Amino acid sequence: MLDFAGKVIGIIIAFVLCVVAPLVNISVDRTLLTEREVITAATDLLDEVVDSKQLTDSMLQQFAAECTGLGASVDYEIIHMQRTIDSSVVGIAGGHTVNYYKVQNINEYDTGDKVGIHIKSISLTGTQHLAEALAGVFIPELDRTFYERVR
Amino acid sequence: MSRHFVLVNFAPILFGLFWLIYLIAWQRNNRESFETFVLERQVNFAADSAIEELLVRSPSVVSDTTDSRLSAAMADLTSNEVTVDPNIAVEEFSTTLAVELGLPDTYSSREYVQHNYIKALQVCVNNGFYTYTNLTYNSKGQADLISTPKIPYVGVVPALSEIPAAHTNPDDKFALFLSKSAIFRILWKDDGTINRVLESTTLGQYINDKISDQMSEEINTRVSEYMQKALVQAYGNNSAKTLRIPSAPSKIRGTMPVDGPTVLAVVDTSERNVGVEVIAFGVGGAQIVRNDPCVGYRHNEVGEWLWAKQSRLNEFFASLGNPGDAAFDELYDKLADTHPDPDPSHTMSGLMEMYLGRASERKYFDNPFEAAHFGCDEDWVVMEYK
Repeated sequence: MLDFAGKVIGIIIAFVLCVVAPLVNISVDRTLLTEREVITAATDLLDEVVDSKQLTDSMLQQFAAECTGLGASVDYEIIHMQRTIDSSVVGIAGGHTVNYYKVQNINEYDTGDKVGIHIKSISLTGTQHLAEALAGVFIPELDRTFYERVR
Repeated sequence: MSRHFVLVNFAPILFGLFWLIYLIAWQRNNRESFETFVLERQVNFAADSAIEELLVRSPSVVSDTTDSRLSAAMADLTSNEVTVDPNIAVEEFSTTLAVELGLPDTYSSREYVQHNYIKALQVCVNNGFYTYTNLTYNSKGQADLISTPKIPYVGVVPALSEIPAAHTNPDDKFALFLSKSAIFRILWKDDGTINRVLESTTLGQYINDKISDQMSEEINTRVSEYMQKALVQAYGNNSAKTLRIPSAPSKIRGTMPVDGPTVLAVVDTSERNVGVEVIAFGVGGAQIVRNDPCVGYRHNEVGEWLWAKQSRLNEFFASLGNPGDAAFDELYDKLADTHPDPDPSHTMSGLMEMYLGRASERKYFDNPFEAAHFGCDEDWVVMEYK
C-alpha cells in the first residue's frame, strides 16, 4: 500500500516537473513579453502624435488592432493636457507660470501640449490565470501611464 | 513510506524545490527588468519634456542690427552666455514624472517626486551644467533637491597643441562649450589668480574634428564626474547604486550622451510599492532639433537673414523667414518681453570675473552641494578651474 502511494506521488512530481513547470515558465514569460509589447505599441502611438500633432481614428484603430493581435485584453485612455501660460503670475523661474489643463479634444494638439496614455489590463489573461492556478505565481495587472510633450 | 519510495523520489522532490526557488528568482528578475523598462521610458519622456520646455522659455535673443536692445542681446551670443533658469527644467521634469507615476499635477506632487524619486538630475546648457541631488540637510532627515552653481565645462585639449600656429600646450586648460565653436584658454597670473583670456576668435579657427571630439569627451567626462558626486550624495557612498555616463563616443552610433543642451536624470523608485527596487537613467533631447526655437538672427555678408536656434548657438540657418513673417514678429515680441533693459554685465565675461574674484573664500565646504545649500554658489565654480 505504501509503495502504491509512493508511486502516485512520484507520478504527480513527474507531471509537475515535466508539464506544469515548463508551462508556467512559458506563461509568465509570455505575459511579461506581451506587456512590454503593449507598452511599446502605446509609446509608438504617442510618438506619432508628438510628431504629427494629431490623433486620428485610424491611428487608434491600428493601436487597438496591435493590442488585440498580441492577445492582451487592455483598456486605454488618451489624455490631452493643454499647455497654458498665465502672464499675470510670475512663476518660480522668474518667467510666466505654465499650467496644464486636461481637455476633451484628443484629436488635435499644439506645441507644448502633453499627450498621455493610460493603459490598464481589464482582467487577468489566460496565461496569468494558468500561472496562478498551477504554481501560485501572481503577476500584477498592467496599469501604466506615459506622457510626452508635443513638439 | 518505504525505503524504495524515498530513494526513487528524493531526486525529483529536490529538483522540484530547486525549480520553485528558480521560479521565484526568475520572476523577480523579470519583474525588475520590466519595471526598469517602463521607468526608463517614463524618465526619458520626462527628460525630453524638460529640456524642450527649458529651451522654449529661455530668453536668449540675438541679432546684429543697430537696435540697441538687439545689439546688447547679441553680446550674449558672442560671449556664449545662454541665459537660462534650470528650475524650469526641474519643474517640468517633476511635473511629467509625477503624472506618469499616477500622481495628480499639483505642487505637492512635484515636491514629493523631487524628494523621493529624483536622486540626481543634471541640466546641461551651452557653457556649463547644473547638478541637482537629494541632500539631507537637518537632523530630522529632511531632504531637498539642491543644485550646484553653474559648473563650466573645463578640460584639456591636447589635440590643439598639435597645431603649431595655436601656440598652446597639451596641459593647458580651456573653458569649453557644447556648440564647440568657441574655446577659451585659462591663464594664471603671477599672483596666483586666474585670468580668463578671450581667445575664441583666434583659437576657434583651429577647431577640427579631432579637437571637437576631444572637447566632447572632456565635457562628457566632466558631466559624468558630477553625476557620480550627486549619486554619492544621494546614496551615501553606496557604490552599488552608482552609474557612469560613457565619456568616450560609442563606436557604433558615434554619439555621446551630452552632445547638446540636455537633461540627465537618475530616478529611483524604491519608495514606490511595486515590489522591486528600480533605478532608471534617462537622457533628454533626442528629438530636440524638431522643437528648437529661434533665438536670434543676423545678416550675412550679402544681406541675407540668418537665424540662430536655441540648441545650436553659433550655427545660423537661412530657412526661418524674413522680418514681417510670423516667426520674426514672434521673435521680436519675445525680445521686447525678455530684454526690456538688457544689462551688459550679464554676459559670461562678467560672471566669470565675479566668480574668479571670490576664489579666496572657497575653504569652508566639502562639496558643491553643501556650498550651494549655504548660499555660497560661486566658490565652487572657481575650483573647477584648478
